[in-house]
Amino acid sequence: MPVSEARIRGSLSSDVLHPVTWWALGLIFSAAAILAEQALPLIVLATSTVLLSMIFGVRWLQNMRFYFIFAALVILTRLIFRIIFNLGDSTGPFLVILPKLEVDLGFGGTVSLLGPLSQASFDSAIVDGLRLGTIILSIGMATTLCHPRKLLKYTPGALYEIAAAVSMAINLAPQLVTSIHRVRQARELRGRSGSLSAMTSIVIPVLEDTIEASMNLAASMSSRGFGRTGPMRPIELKLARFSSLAAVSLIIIGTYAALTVGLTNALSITSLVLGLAFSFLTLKLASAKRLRTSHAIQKLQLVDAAAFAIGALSFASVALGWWNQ
Amino acid sequence: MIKLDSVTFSYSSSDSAILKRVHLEIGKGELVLIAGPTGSGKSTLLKVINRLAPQFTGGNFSGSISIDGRNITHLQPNEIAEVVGYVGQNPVESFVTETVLEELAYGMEQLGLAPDFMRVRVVEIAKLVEIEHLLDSKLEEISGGEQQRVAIGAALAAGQKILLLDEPTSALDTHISKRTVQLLRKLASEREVTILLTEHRVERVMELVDSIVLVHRDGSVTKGPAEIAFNDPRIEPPLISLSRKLNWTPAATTVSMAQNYWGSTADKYVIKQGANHNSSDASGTSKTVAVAKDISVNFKNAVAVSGVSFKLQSSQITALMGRNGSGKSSTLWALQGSGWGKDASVAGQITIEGKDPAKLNNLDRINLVAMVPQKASDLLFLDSLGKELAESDSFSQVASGTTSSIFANLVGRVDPGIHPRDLSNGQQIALVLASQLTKNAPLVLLDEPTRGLDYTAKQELSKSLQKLKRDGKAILVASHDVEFLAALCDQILVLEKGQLIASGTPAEIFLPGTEFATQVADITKTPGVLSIDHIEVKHES
Repeated sequence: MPVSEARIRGSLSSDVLHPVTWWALGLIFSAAAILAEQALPLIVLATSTVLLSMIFGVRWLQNMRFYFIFAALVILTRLIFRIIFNLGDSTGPFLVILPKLEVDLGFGGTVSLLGPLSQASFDSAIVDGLRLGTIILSIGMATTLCHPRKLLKYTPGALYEIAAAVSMAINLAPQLVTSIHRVRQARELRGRSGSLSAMTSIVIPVLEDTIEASMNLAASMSSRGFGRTGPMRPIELKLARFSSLAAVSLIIIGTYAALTVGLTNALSITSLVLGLAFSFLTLKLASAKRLRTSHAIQKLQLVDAAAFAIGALSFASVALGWWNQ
Repeated sequence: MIKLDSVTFSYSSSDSAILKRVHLEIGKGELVLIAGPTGSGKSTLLKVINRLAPQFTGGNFSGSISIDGRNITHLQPNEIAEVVGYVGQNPVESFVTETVLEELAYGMEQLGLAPDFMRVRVVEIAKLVEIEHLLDSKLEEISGGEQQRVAIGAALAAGQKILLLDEPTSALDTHISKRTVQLLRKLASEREVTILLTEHRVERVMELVDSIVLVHRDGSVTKGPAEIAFNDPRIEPPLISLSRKLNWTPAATTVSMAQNYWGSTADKYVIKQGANHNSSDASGTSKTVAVAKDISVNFKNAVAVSGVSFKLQSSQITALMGRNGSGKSSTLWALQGSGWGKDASVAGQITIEGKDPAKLNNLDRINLVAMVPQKASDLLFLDSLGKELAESDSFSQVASGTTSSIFANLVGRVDPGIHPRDLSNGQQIALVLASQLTKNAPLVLLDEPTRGLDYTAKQELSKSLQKLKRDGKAILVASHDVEFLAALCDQILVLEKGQLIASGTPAEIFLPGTEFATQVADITKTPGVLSIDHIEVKHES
């Protein structure tokens, strides 16, 4: 019984933390992974993502399986590439010594493939692979513990439509797979004469199916009030327009200054900071006309603060190099 | 409450108006049935009222619509969302969230209602539509009837006073559809919700509605009380046909009314028993086409069918009945040989004309078993009706026009330039059936073929199937439609939770007072008298 199961789990479900916290943790882990230079911290990070999804996720393996396979593939590909395109680093000790292949491409000289594989270059390939794998697992953990749909509630009103579209697009993928399967089976039921290509008999129904489903969903959302806006005073409207224009101009000036005279220049810093400030103001103003409320907004709690702290700690220990001491 | 004034609407793909100069007034708390032949603008009428047409469908609209005196002609669907709730044909496709609770709250969130109010309201509405025990469940894990009730609750949660439903019971079995219609009656009577629903099986809802709106083929619309004269045989429900045949005036509109008539005049009629069920007499020519022995279908987490055995004879029509989720579709797919979905594993022995369909290649299988699946439109992939018909002729290597004439027999002539997606549900099923029938396979399987068909189309389908029967085919039909099956079948198989719990002739299964009773059976309470064809008026001599 799905209902009772969820209730028994209660304290150990992913609801313990705020949806935003799960995604923040996922992103912190990925950021730490990007900065990590050794295998051990990466392994620790990857293990933590798996442990967290095991403990807090309902049916975690179903969701994580895809990310496991993807991560493993990435690591494997990285290794195979390193073995085949084994450039430079001829200092030992060597792990394996493979025969060297010289391939003449006909232009730009020869390219050497395989050859002796040193311990150091093997290690660096492992670390590179692990890094990418850890990032994949961190995102996997975030989606397992908090469906992107749940984040929708916490997006600012002005971005809600875009966020809704992204979330729908994420949901479309599994639907596309079932749709393809169904249409293929249907095509087999009917058979087709030689004059018809597989293209017309599979791609078209699947696309039509998907578009139709999206249209039905859009119609349903609209008939239930999606996209409704409340009244906005003319002065607010003018202010919102002005601030969005200001934000865009300032950010363009700031970027230009940063690229020409450097990021540390006073002009680039002030215009970038002001530009960001105006962006927030625009978001705030544009969100004000939205009516949308939520029946169960979770608030950030002490647990979330604790989770942030743990995440920040792991990030700092990697970023500041404490690990190496 | 709702007022349509001179409303005309046409889709951009067609020249003729699907709704023409419609004047309609609907009162507060009225429960209205919208009936009409296959392909008439029943669904369109609903969409026009909540502005999905033309805002989402495109097309040309003229006239004006007002709700409670407020002109809504130029508003978007989301601007009238707090007044009008809409439940589309397939509730699953209209769900926006993941759980029942979130789905009920969704509309209120969009309308910006206060969170405290929402939390109270969600529980209240869940109680009203009898799903309070499911609040935490995932939408994909609950049954079809429950999903329908969630969709109804979600459409009413923000206090909407008008509810529009497009064929709310067509996918539901008799038992659950009865419950759904009773829920609608309760909402209209106790909560003064104005409800408009479309439905093909008029007999299932006629007793409970306040009035009937008829959408005619020419686009005109008429409204009247439930005793309305159904002047179009395409939409005349069995009770009215029976009243006409037996000269009952005024016509019976409820089963109990008909029972009274029957009780006082029964001696005037002759029973023509077993008019359709004489195939067993001709058993000399009948041979076994398909044998299913101990078949089971397992999905990853569920058993769909377990240990079902039956035989299908040539020149016989067999019905497969049972509630939603009892394993009917799985049985058909197992029989067809390709199994249903990639997760399905089929065990047991299936032999059709001595061959196991699962072991054949696709072409041989098509020539052995013809199947019309539930979502018939999956089999359509060309951009016009005419091309679909021609493709079918050329695949089956029959004279050109063969498929077209079968199709025309089923649903009448339709413009061959029309896109198959713009055909009504009923017309799509007819098109697929026509293209499958040209293949001349000895076994024909049909999964819920009467969905969206009007009475005339059902009769035509019935005639086509009887013709196939005379041609020596074995036919298996999965359906909920007892009225349709009673006049057609020789053998009934009843599934429950994946097991075969009963089998027999229609007279043995469609007993008065049971879930599978036809209305005629309930009226006459005479064994073997199941449909109008079984009764004749005595000729005075």
